[in-house]
Amino acid sequence: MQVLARAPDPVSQTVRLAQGGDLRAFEALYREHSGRIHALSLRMCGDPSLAEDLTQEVFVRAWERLDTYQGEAAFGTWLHRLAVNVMLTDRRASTRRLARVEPVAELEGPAPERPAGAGFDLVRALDALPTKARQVFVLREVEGLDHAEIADAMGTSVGTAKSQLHRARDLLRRFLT
Amino acid sequence: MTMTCEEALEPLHDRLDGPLPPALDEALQEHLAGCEPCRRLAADLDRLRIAAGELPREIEPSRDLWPGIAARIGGRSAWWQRPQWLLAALVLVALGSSALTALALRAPDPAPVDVAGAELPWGDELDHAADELRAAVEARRGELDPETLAVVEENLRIIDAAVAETRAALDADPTNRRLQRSLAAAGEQRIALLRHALTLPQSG
Amino acid sequence: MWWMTTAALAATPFERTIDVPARSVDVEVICGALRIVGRQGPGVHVSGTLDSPDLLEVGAGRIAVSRKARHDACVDLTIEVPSDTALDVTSISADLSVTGVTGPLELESVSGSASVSGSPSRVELSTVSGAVTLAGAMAVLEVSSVSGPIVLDTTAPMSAVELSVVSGAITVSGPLAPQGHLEVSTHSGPITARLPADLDARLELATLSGRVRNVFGGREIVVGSGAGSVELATFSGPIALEHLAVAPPPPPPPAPDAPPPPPAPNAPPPP
Ligand SMILES: [Zn+2]
Repeated sequence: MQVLARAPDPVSQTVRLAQGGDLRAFEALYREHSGRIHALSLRMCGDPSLAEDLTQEVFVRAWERLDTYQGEAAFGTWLHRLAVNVMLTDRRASTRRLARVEPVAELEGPAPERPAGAGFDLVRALDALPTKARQVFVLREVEGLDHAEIADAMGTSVGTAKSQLHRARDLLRRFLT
Repeated sequence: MTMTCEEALEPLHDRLDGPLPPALDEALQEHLAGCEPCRRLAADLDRLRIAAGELPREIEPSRDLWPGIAARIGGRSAWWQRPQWLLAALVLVALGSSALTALALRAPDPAPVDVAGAELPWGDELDHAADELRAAVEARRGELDPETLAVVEENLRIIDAAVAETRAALDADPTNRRLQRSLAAAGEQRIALLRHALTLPQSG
Repeated sequence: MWWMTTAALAATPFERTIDVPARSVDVEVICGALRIVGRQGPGVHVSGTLDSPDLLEVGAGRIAVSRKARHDACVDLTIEVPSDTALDVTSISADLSVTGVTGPLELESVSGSASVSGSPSRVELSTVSGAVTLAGAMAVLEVSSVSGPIVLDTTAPMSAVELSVVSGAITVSGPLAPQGHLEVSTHSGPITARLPADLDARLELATLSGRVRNVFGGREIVVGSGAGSVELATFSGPIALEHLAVAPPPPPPPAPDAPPPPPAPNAPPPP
């Protein structure tokens, strides 16, 4: 995984306490980052109840791997990367996804009528995307990762990641009026 | 030499990642000027970008996930989720301290109650919450911009002084509703400021 | 401040025009200066200088300093928006100015000053220590601060105005709408309110230990039919309620026997 070219952050006192096993410190980290991570979970899997499982999973894994964090990036960045990995690799993410493809498939008929601009329901449209395309779109357009970072996280080439993204945009276009 | 639609496709997407090389950009603009479908595609891609940018960056889970996490990593629960109302209040305060403060100040006087005997929800619990948050801010000390941190601390002292003064006055006049309300308001403002400090960006 | 030097040395010019169909713009900056100007016509125009070239992320609807930026990454920007744009501005220590907008305005900052003029349909502003100045035609406001002073001078009748600080001063001048509500509170700072002589409101001036001066009468009185409400409250700060001058006072006619005003002496050089 790529390390951002920047001066290492000092490992915060909270993180250090948590690394030493202080659960209260780790809870403070959870309180601070849960909203950001949960937003990512929701977008990556599109299922509110699964998203809660995934958010929980991210923090459990973070606790288990806390000692590998050495301040090479901000803690939030480290956690975000870990979260992306969890969401791309957690088996439940794809199995549960399959279970909900059927009702979602109805959306793939004629594009629903939606007002333009702010009225465009992107969240609903994302639900209709195939998993990979959806994930690439979310990582690029919502989370702001660059193509190399996405390719790295998904274990593909930049070219593949880009073509997934183009496909996602093409599919999403149909939901614009 | 003019660009075909097929050739325009890649730069149409790529321009979203940053400015194109001038020559390529010029060729693309030239193509767009004469090609309605590609102009539509460009507009659609922009709208998708807008819609994505408008999604909230943070969404709190609809229920508190910490107890589940704590159970899995073998811990006990901390003060945060003990009285459920307190957490809700903190979240409200974080979202709109002034609205809540105003609400507290504006709330019509309810029927008089025995305040001395009643447990004031905004008393010790709120102090305790402030202490915990203060510790969390303290833990982030090394991460925060020192100038901003100094502003936060100076203003915390201002609020602390206001809380202490109000509390002393309330000791002398325990049924004074206005004092009760301003104590609550100051306590909330303190929580809001501490929570704000916790969300400040890290220093570089 | 040392960052100003850095900014001057490293300032990168920046200019961009973007389309904002949703008529709503979020702006996030850390430090420096930000001016937002409402204007006729579509499109959002951003111009100014940045501390480093990649500092700013500009998408339609969002103009933000990158979340990867350092805390001392400053901007000096002017953003022109269609006047009816809804604005949501967040800053740590930048000095903010918003002029000529008619849409709703939400503003949050820690320590920079904030100045708003014009006629935004609604203002929600919260800061920790920055000075807040509001001047124009504003009827609906909610402004809070810990230690920054707040000055509100409005020509529009106030329909719902709430101003609160802990230790700073609050000054408010303007007419009250029929059944309008004005609520001002400080802990230790002074409150000065200037309201029209033909006020129609229930008045309550409450303080534990501050002095009270009320041109309308006592601490709890009804003026006119009592349709509106005005509540001015402090713990220890003084409260003054005065008459609002109806129109800008004309220059007083020189008294016939008064000597002409002396020529203004040159200001002494600053020490
Ligand atoms: Zn074409």
